[in-house]
Amino acid sequence: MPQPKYRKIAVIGYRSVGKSSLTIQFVEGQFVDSYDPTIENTFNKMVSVNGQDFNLQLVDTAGQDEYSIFPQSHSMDIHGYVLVYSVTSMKSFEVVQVLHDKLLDMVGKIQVPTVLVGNKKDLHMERVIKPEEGKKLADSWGAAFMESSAKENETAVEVFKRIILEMEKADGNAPPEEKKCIVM
Amino acid sequence: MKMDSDLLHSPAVGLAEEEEADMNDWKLPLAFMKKRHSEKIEGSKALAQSWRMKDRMKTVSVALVLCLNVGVDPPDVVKTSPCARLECWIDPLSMSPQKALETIGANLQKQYENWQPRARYKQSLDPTVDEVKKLCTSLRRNAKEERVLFHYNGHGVPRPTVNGEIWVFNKNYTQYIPLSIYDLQTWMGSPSIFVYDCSNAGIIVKSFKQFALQREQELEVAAINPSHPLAQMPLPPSMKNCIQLAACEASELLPMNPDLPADLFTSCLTTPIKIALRWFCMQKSAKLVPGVTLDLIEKIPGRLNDRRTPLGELNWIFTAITDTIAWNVLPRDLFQKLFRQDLLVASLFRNFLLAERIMRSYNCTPVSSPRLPPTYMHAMWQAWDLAVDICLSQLPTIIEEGTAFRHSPFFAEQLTAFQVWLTMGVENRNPPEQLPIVLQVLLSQVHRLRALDLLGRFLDLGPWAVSLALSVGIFPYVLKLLQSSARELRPLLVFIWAKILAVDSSCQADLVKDNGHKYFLSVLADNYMPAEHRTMAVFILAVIVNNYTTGQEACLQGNLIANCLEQLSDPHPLLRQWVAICLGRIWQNFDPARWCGVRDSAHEKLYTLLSDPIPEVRCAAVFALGTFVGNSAERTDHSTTIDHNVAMMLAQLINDGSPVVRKELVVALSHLVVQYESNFCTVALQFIEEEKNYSVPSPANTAEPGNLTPVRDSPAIPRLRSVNSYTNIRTATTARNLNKSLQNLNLNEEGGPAAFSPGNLSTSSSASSTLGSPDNDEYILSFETIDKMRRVSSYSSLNSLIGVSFNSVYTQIWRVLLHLAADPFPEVSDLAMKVLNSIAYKATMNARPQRILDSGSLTQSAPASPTSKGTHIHQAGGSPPMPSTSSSSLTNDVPKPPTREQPATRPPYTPTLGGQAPHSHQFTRTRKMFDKGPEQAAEDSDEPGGHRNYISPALQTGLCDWSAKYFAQPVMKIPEEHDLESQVRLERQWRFLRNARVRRQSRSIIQRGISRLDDQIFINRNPGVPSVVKFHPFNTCIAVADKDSICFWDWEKGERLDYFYNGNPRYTRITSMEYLNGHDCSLLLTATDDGALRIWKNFADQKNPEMVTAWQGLSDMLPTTRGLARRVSIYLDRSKQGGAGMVVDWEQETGFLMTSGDVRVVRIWDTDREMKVQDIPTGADSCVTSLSCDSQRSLIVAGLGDGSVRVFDRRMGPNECRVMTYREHGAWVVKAHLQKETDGHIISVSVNGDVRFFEPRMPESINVLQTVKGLTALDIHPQANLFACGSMNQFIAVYNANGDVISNIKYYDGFMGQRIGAISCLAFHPHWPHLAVGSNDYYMSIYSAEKRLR
Repeated sequence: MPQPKYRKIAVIGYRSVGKSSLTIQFVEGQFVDSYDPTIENTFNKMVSVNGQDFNLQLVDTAGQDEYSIFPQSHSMDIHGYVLVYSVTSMKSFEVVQVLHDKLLDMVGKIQVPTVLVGNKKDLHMERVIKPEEGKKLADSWGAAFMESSAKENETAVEVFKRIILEMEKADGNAPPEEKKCIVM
Repeated sequence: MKMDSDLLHSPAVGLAEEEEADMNDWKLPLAFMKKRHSEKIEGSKALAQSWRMKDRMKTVSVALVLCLNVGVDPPDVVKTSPCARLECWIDPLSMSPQKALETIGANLQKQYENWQPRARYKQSLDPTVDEVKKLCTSLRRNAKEERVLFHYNGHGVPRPTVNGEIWVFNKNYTQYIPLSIYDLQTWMGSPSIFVYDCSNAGIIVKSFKQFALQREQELEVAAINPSHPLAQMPLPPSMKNCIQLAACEASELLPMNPDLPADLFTSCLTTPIKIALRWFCMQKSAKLVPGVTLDLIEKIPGRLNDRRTPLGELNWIFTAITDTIAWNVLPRDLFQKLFRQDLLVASLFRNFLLAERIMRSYNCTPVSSPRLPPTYMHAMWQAWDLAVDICLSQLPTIIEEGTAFRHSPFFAEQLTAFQVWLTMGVENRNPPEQLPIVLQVLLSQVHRLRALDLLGRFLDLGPWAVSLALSVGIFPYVLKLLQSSARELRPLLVFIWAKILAVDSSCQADLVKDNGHKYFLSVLADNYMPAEHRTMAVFILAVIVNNYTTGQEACLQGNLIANCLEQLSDPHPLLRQWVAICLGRIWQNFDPARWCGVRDSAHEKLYTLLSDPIPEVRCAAVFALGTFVGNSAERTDHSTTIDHNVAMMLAQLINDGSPVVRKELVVALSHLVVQYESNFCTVALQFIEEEKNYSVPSPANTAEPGNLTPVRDSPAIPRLRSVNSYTNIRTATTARNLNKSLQNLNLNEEGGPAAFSPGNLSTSSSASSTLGSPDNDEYILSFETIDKMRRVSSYSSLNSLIGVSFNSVYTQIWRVLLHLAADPFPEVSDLAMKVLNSIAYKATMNARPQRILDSGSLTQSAPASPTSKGTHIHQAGGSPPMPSTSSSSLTNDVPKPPTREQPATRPPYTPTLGGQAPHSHQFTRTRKMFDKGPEQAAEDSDEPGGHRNYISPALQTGLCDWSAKYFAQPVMKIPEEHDLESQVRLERQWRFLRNARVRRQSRSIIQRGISRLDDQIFINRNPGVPSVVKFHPFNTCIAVADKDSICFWDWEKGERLDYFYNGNPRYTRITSMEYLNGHDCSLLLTATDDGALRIWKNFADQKNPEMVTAWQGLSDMLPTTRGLARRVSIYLDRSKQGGAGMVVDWEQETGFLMTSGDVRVVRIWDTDREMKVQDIPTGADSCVTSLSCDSQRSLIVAGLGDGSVRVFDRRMGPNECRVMTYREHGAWVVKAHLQKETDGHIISVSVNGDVRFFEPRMPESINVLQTVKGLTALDIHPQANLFACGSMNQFIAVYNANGDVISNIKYYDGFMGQRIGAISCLAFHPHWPHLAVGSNDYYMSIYSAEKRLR
C-alpha cells in the first residue's frame, strides 16, 4: 500500500452556488439546505482513486464576486481548484470566469488543475446555463467539466474524484484508462 | 370736527378749573377694582406635569457585540482600496487578529464608560448565536426594569438581511450565522436601546418595528383566546419603549473614505469631540485657520470633563449646543424621553445629532427610532463651528509658546441673546432658543449669577415659562444650588423657587428631601433680606407645609412658627398675608405645631391681623385661626378655652366689608362646628324648637311657605346667569327663611331690639293693601310680625337658656352663622347655609329617631303629590302634625338616613297611606304650594346625598390658592394700565376725553343761563315703580331702581339697556344708589333698607351684570323709625313701608362711603380697606333721611326724620363731632345737601316745602324759600344752582337760586298729555341741565333745559 498522497483543494465560486453543500455532501454524505454564508472552512477526507489513497484537504471558501480581492491564501499551497457556478444563475457563471482569470493571475501559471462544476443541476425548471456552455468554457480553459447536484452523493464524489485525476494528470501520472472515466 | 366747534364756544373763564377737573380724573382713586373684586377666588388650574419624568431610568447594562473577524472581509461588501480601517481608533491590521479584536473591544468599552461609568459592561467578540443569547438574557435578568444597551458592530459579517437578520458566527468561524431580530427582541426585552453600526443598518430598524408589531398582534390574540399557545407562555415584552440608533439608511453603505474611521457612527456616538474636530479639519472651511493639523488636534490641552481646560470647554459647549438643538427641534415629549430620561441615552442622542451632521456629509443618513426631525442644518451648528475655530486658532501659540488659553465667549454671548429675547418675550412667541444653555451655564461659577438673574426674569413671564424651564430640566440644578451658601444667590434662588412652587407645588417633597426648606427658613429669618424676598421665602415654606406632614414636621423643627410670628407685624402686607397663611398651614391637622403655636400664643398675635387694613391679610389671619381651631386632636379644657377665645375673636368679623373675609370666616367657624358638633347640634335644636313654637299660632302661617319661596324665584333671576349661586333656589330659600327669621337675633351688644308695637304694623299693613299693591304685601308684613315675635321671644328665651358659658359661645357662633347665612353676598350665604344645614340635619336626626323610621318612603312619597291629593290624613295616635311653616322647611329637607330600616322592596311613587307614612301629608301639602313639577321633586331625592356631604372638614375657600397665583403671574412686569399703548390705557384715555367733553359742553350751556327746564327728552315706562333714579355722570345712561331691580336706560337713544334683579330679599327695597368710579369703569352701588350694600359691574353693556361685592353696611336697622314716614305720605313708595331705609353718600376722592338710615349712627366705610372706619352717633332718636359730605372740609351733613339737620366733622371724636344742629324744619327732611365749594352752603328741605340755606358757621339759616307742600323729592343741581321739587300732588317745580319758579311740569308732553303721577324720586344730572323724574305711575321721564345740541 503506497503512502496516501496529501492534496489540498480549494472550492471557489460566487455566493450561494453550493460550494459548502457540495463539500459537505462529499465529506459527510448529507445535504445542508439552510444557507449560512461561509467564512472559510476546511475539511479533511481520505479517498481512494484508482487504488491510490489521497488525503484530501478541502478549503471551502467564502463566496466571491467579480470585485472581490482574490485572497492570496487561495493561491498558495493549493493543488487543485473546484470552480463552482450554479446552472440557475447567469451571474454565477459570469463570476466564475472572472474568478478563473484572477486565479491564474495570482498563481502565475497559464493552467492549473481545475474542474468547472455546474451545480444545482436538479433544478431543471430554473436552469439558465446549458451544459454545452459550461463544457465550452471548460474546454477554453483546458479544464474538466461536470454538472452536479449537491443533493446526490454520487455527483459530489464524482467532482472530487475528477479533480484528483486532474491533479494527477498535471503531475504527469495520468491513468491509462482515463478515457473510460468520462461520463459524458 | 364737532369737538373743534365746541372748543370755540367754550368760554374762556373756568377753563383752568375744567382742566384741573380733567387732570383729576387721572388722580381719582378707583374703588373695588382690585384683583379680589375682578377675579374668582380660586387657584389656577393645576399644571399638567409634563416635566417630571415619572419613568426616569438608568441604563445599567451594556452588551458590546463586535463581529469583526479581523482579516476576513464579509462576502457581500466590496471595499475600496485604501479603505476606512480604524475601529475604535485602532487599526485592526496593526496587530494579530485576536489581539486586535480584544483591543478594539476594550477600547469600545472605555469609550462608552466615558458616558456611563457605572454600567455593567459585557463584551462579546465575534460571538455565536448562543453567546449572544446568553449575554442578552443574563443582562436583562440583572437589569430588571432598567434599560439595557445593545451595541452591534457588523463590520466583519454580511449586511443585515431583509428578513430581519443580522449576522454572527458559528463556533469555528467557518460560517456566518443569521440572528433574527425577533429573537434578539425576545432576549433583550424592554426597555432597551440598540446601536447598529453596519451597512444597511436601516433594514434592522424596519424589521424591528415589524416584529414589534407582530408581537403586539400576538399579544392581542393571546389575550382574546386563552387556549392560544402564547397565552400559556410568559407574555413577550412590548417593544414600544425600545430605542434604536442605526448608522445608515436601509439602502446605504457605510463610508469607506480612508481618512475616516471604519466605525464612524460609533466614533460619533462615543467620541464626539475627537471626531468632530477631525471632521472640522477635513472641511474646506478649516483652511481658514492655518497650521492646524490632525496631529495638533490630538494635542489640545486639557481633559474632557474639566470645563476650565480648552478640551473640557469644547466638550461643554458641544453639550450645550446639541442639547439646545434638540430642545428647539424636537417635540417636547420626545425631548423629555430621549434627552432627560436617561443619562446615557441623552448623551448618545446628543452625539447622534453630530453623527447626523457628519455622516450626511458622506451621503449617509443615520436613522433613529423614534425618528428625529432633521437637525444637521440647525443654525446652532455655526456657533459650534465658531467655537471650534476660536479654539483651534489659539492652538499653535498655546502649544508652541505656552500662552494662556482664552476662554470661549460662547456662553456669555448666548446669555446676551437670551437677555435680548427677554426684553420682548411673550407667551405666543417661540420660546427662547438659549434656554437649555442657560441651564448649562448654571454649572459655571463665572456665569451663574447672571444666568440665575435671567432665568428668574424668564420664569416671571408666567406659568408657561415655568413649565418650559422645568421641561428643559432646570429642576435638579436649582435644587442643587440650594446647598450653596453664597448670599448673593439668595434673592435669585428664592425668586426662582417661588415661581416654581407657584406653578408646581408637588416639588414640596423634593425640597424637604434635600433639606431645601432650611435654606428658605434662613432667608425668612434674615432681616437684611428685603421684605419681597422674605415674602417669597414664606410663600415657599407655606407650600412646603401645605398638606404634607413630612414638610410640616421638618419646618416645625426648623422653628418656622417662631420665625413667622416675628414677621407678623411687618409693614409689607403681602408678607403679613403669607406669614399668616403659612402659620395656618403648618398647624393644619398637625397637632404638634398647634401646641407649639399655643405656647407662643400665636393665636393672640394673629388677632391683631384681624383688623388689618388689607382684606387679604385679614382673610389669611382668619384662615390661620380657622385651621388653628380646626385641629382634630383630642381636646382638653385648655384647648377648648383657646378655641372659644379664638371663635369669639373671629365672630367680630361678622360685618367685615369684604365678602372674601366673611367667606373665610364661615369656613373657619365650620372647623369649630365640626370639632364641637354635638354642642352645636344642641344649639340648633333649641333654635328650631323656639321657632316652631312661635310660628304655630300665626294665621298667616299656612300660606307662608308658598309665598315665601318665590323670594329668589322672581322673574329677574334668569337674567342673573352669572350669579351662579342662585341655582339651588329651593334649598337656599327654605333654609334662608329659617335663617331670616333668626338672623335678627340681636348680635350687637349695643342694645336690644326695639319694642314691638302691633298697632303700627296693622296700620301699615292696611295702608299697603289700600294701595292695591300685590296682595302678598300683607303676608310680608305678617311675616315681619312673626319675625319680630320670634326675635323677641327667642331672644329672651335663649337668654334664659344660656346658663353655662360654654353654651353661650356655641349659641353666639350659631347666631353668627345664621347671620352669615343671610349675607347679601351669595357665596357667603351659601357656604354658611351648608354649615347650618348639615348641623340642623344631624340635630334633627339625632333628636327624633322616630321620625326617620320611615323616611325612606317619606322622600319617595313626596314626588307623588300630583296623584296624592286625598292623602291629607292624620294618622291615628301619631305625633302632632308638623306645622308647615317656614321653619318646617328645614325638616322638609330631612334627607334619607344612611341606613334604611325598611326593606327597599317597597315600590317608589306609591301614594302613601297615613298609617304607613305618618308625615306624608305635610310634605304633599308643601309640595303643592311649592308648585313644583316632578322634575324638581326628583332633584329633591338627590339632595340627601348632598346634605350629608354638606359640611366636611375640608371645606375651604380658594383663598390660599388664589393668593398663590400672585407668584405664578408676572411680578416684575409693569401692569398693563401703565403701558401707554395698552388697550386698557387707551380706553381709559378715551373715557377721560369723554368726561372732559361732557364737562365743557355742559358748562357752556349752563353758563348761557337756564331759563326753563321742561323739555321732555325722554319718557318710558319702567318695569317697576321708580324709587331711586341716578344719572351716570358722563355717559347717556340712567339707572332706575324699583323695589328690588335696577333698570338701565339710554336716555339719548331712548332704549332700555338692561334690567336685572338686585338680589335683595323680598320684603326689602332699594333706597339708595350711587355710581362708583363714574369717571372711569363705572360700578353701581345699591343700598337696601335692610342695610345691605351691593355693588354691580358689567351692567348696561350687553354683558351679564356681575356682583362685585356686597356687604352689610348697616346692621341692626331700627324698625320703629319706619313708622314716621307714613305720617307724611302713605302713598309714596319711599315711605310706604316706613323709614328712610338706607341712605348713602359716596366720596370718590377718598373712597369713603357714608351710610346711614334707620339707625342712630352715620357709618363710614373705607372701600379701599373694605372696613368700617368710623361710627358717628347722630344723637337723635330719629332716622337719617339724607346724607351729604364734602371731602375737602371733612364735613358730613345729615338730614333727619325729626326735621333736624346735623353737621358732623369726621375728624373729631364720636362725642364732639356733631358740630352743628339746625332744628328749623318742622318735619321730615327730604334732602340735605352740602355744596362742594370751599364756602358752600347747606341746603335742606323738609316735606313741608321750606327750603333753608345754612352757612355751616352760623347757628341759623341764612335764607328760606317756601315751595310747595307735600314735597316728596328734591334735588339740587350742583353746577347750575337749580333745584327741583317733586310733589305727591303730581307736579314738578324747578326753581333757580333766587327762588323763582322757572318751570312747572304737570303733564306729559304731547297733545292731550296725561297728568303726571305722584313723584317718587327725582335727580339732576351732575353736569347737564337734565332732570330725571320717576313717578308712581311707573313712568320715568327726563327733562332738559333745551333741545340737546348733539
